[in-house]
Amino acid sequence: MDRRTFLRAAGLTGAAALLTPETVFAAGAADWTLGFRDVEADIAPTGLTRLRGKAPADLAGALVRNGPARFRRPGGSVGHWFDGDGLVRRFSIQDGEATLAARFVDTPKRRADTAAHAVITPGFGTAPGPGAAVGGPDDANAANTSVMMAGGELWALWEPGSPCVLDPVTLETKGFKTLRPDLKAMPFLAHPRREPTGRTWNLGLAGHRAIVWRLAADGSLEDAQLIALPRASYIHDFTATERHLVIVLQPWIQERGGVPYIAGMAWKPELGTQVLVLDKADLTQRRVFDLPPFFFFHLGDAWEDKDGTIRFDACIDDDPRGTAAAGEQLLRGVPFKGVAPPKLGFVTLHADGKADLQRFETVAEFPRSDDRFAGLGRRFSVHAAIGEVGKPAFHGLAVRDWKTGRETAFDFGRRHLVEEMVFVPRPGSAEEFEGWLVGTSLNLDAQATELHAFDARRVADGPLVTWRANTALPLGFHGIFTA
Amino acid sequence: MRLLPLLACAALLTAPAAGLCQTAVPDAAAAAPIPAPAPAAGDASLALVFPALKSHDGVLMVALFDSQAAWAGGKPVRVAFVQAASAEPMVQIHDLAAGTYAARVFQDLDGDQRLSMNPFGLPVEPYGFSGGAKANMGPPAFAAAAFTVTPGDNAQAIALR
Repeated sequence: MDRRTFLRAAGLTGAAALLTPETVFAAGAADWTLGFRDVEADIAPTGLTRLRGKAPADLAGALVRNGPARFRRPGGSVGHWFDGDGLVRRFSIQDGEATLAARFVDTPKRRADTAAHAVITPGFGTAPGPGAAVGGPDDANAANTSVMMAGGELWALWEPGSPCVLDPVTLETKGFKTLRPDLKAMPFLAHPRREPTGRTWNLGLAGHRAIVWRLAADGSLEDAQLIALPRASYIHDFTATERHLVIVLQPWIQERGGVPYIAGMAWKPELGTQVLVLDKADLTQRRVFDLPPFFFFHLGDAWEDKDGTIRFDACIDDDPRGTAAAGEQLLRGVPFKGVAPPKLGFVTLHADGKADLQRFETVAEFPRSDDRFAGLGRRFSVHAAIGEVGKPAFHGLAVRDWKTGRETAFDFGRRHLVEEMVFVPRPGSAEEFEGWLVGTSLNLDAQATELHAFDARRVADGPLVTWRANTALPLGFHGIFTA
Repeated sequence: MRLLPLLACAALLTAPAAGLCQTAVPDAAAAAPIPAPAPAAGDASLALVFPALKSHDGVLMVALFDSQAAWAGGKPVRVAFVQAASAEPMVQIHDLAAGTYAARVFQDLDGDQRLSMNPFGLPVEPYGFSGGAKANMGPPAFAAAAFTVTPGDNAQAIALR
């Protein structure tokens, strides 16, 4: 078998420049390593090939996703998946056809690492290299985790630094967003919680302290308040009901500052997981609930019953041993030893102060729901599904009906790595989950990214339409569907 | 990633007021003004320019130090300020002794005569160091920002970020 054939079969053509057959053999790199390849340059708008099915007549708009896409440089590579340069991917769907464009966010980090021919900028799991000059968090901002629309602006979101403003169509980088001059370079999570009216809440974390952001529908700042947290947990995501902010405090605690971030973290399951609930109208009104210990990245939108019970779903790990603490080995195709993928969980916070955690056997990550019901009573969650021990990727999607307890799923098979699905309401619809699920998968055999749309109520039927790009994008994180 | 405290703001810059030199911790109440140290007398002069300013608002506030100890201790040998409104603001310092110095500057946009910080301790006003030195998880060392002053005229450019 010649080198090129071997590399293609191992799904590694994209990484061929930096891996020799010897290292591949020696490492036994997994077939999903294509999902962690480097993209070298921006991708000009290119048509996708429609493989099968037909797009629904009134499905039109753009799926805009973010994710790290540059990990390795000649003089040194990132120390964690989360530290790759953000590549914003725009899949436009118009008149039944789809187009892909992708642009790296032009950040000081990307410029410094490019000039140095090495990843010198520190991050979540990356130590600083020679010549690193990080004057503030935005010098290290990878702008790689999610995106949101704020008024007419597209913001690339990260976590410990500012949103980065992009042109929503061309994806050209405009610069970091300062919401108020005295709040320049304050952190802004990649998971804001938007109310159906458009008002948006977010957090920015720094150890025991957080800033609570409140934005108007047009993206302007309405309020910013500092709060104290009972512990310095790693917080990637929080949730909210119509009237409350819900902040889950897992026992992965920052014991010391500095970079790389994970070097200062300690797993302390004996502390359990706490949930801090704040009244949106008065952030000084707070309650704390206690749950058994778990690790999580993502939560679903929460809702509150008339009796004050707060409920939400979550994607739960036993501990941070997988992606969080060991996100470097994924880039070398080395599976996590003995680490199960995250599974679906459901949290109930009772008005009397008690709290329950239900854990399900369903493998689950990247939870989403019908955004028109954010913070309100709802039935449905969609999530990536079907995984294996040690594997950092998923092979299908599932929809959970919290009212009936039923799940429907679609399995693409082991040769597809399935990414987050976004719910898109059918224009003119009012019922929850009346519309489509739009998302991507990486086809390991075709070495190409595919775009799919499902009937959200009938995922078991498979995609209504599938398009294929002429390139393999590395796995991304989160996105939105915009008109 | 949490980069706190990224810059020791107390050590970053002193805040000159009304021509008097004052070593000030930004959060401390104003103490009685400390008399300016006797300028190191000498036959050198130093012109400082600030190319490519992003804003011409406010006041550029400069502090000049002659040793690592002075730099770290916030004890400048000279301070100077100039309105940023002029097309090419410049600060002239006279009667300096020849030797090795380092300078830092910030642009006081909000008029509080301090390098303003966000609630998590990051500067929100432009600042810079001589010698092209950059902050990296804290201010640069004196040696990174150092330059030589010889008898006669000297000039240094400081880029603010």
